[in-house]
Amino acid sequence: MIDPRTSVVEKRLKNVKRIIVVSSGKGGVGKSVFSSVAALLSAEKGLKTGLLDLDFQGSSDHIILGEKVSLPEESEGICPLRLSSGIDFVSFSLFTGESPLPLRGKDTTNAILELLAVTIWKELDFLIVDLPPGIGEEILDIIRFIQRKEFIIVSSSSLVSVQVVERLVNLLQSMNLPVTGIVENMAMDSVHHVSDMSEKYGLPLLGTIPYFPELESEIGDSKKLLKGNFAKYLNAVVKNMFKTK
Amino acid sequence: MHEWALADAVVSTVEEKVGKRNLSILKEVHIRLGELQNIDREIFVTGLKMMLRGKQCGLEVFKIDMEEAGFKCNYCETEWKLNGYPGIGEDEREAIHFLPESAHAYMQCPKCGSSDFTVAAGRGVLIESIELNGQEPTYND
Repeated sequence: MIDPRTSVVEKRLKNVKRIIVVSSGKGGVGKSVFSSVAALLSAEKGLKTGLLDLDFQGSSDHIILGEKVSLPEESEGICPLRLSSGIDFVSFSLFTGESPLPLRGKDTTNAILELLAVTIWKELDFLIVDLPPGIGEEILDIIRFIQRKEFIIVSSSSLVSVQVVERLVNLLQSMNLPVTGIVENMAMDSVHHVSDMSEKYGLPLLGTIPYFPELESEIGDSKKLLKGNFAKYLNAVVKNMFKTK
Repeated sequence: MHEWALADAVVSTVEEKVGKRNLSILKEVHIRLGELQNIDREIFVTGLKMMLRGKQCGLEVFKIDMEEAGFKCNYCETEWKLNGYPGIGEDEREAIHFLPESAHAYMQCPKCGSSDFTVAAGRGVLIESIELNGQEPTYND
């Protein structure tokens, strides 16, 4: 039995200049906020931007951006949803809304492969892929199915986060996969674990973003998010991201 | 019409397996369409026809069978079929059509109510075998 879907993934992504995979070994470090606001900033600069939320259990990019989701349109495949900010968006939430989606490993792989095989991405400067935490099916499938990709790693300042994130860095480097850099989120001045990790592995520290309690009040409103302090700091990171190639 | 994307995947895979210039040696490509994804056979065939334009083989090589969808509960091991399963609305069917794994959000084991089940058969599009002229089938169960 042959699964035909693997043969067209690259074809579906052929119009995408850069595929940026936002990952972290640890949960709760702000990957989804990072991914969503980075996509907003990129779109605001006039760059054609896509956002693919691959976090099955915790898809939240649409919540962060304050977008109502619905089933996508069909053409010769599935068309990403065009958000009010101009971002082309795909998430499992387009299909299952806010219902729980309990998937085991094989189902997760099937769902990721289906989305990659049938989604027709138009011309994009950036496709930002928001992954769930960990080094499970989602990241392994992205590594397996997408050839042209680069990773951005997000970590909080805590040693608990950094030590788990380090396992991901080890995995990516052992597979010779390109890591554009590390972002420190919810940064604490008192510790330097993330910069130490960045030095240890020879990876650029793309930026350090402090913890902003007011960010919570910006969630769900793209305009507020773009004006907030988080976006100001992230803007510098995004500029570094753009510069890297 | 995302059936076209799947038809494209089938033709691309066949080309990958036998080589773009060797399509004339194809005797039969056996495709299975899973009931769960609810692929419109007619649209899928039209998609195949489009993808085969200008290529060295015709539609007659492609044999398509439907496969009944079957499920097995991972909790109580009850097995059931899609046919006769109650309560799937139009929007839910459409979501499953796009992404068959959406079924886990909309279906539960009819005996114990668990959402933890396996799609045992009939999920989506698969190539069962590719047979070349003068050779045994290349890929089989």
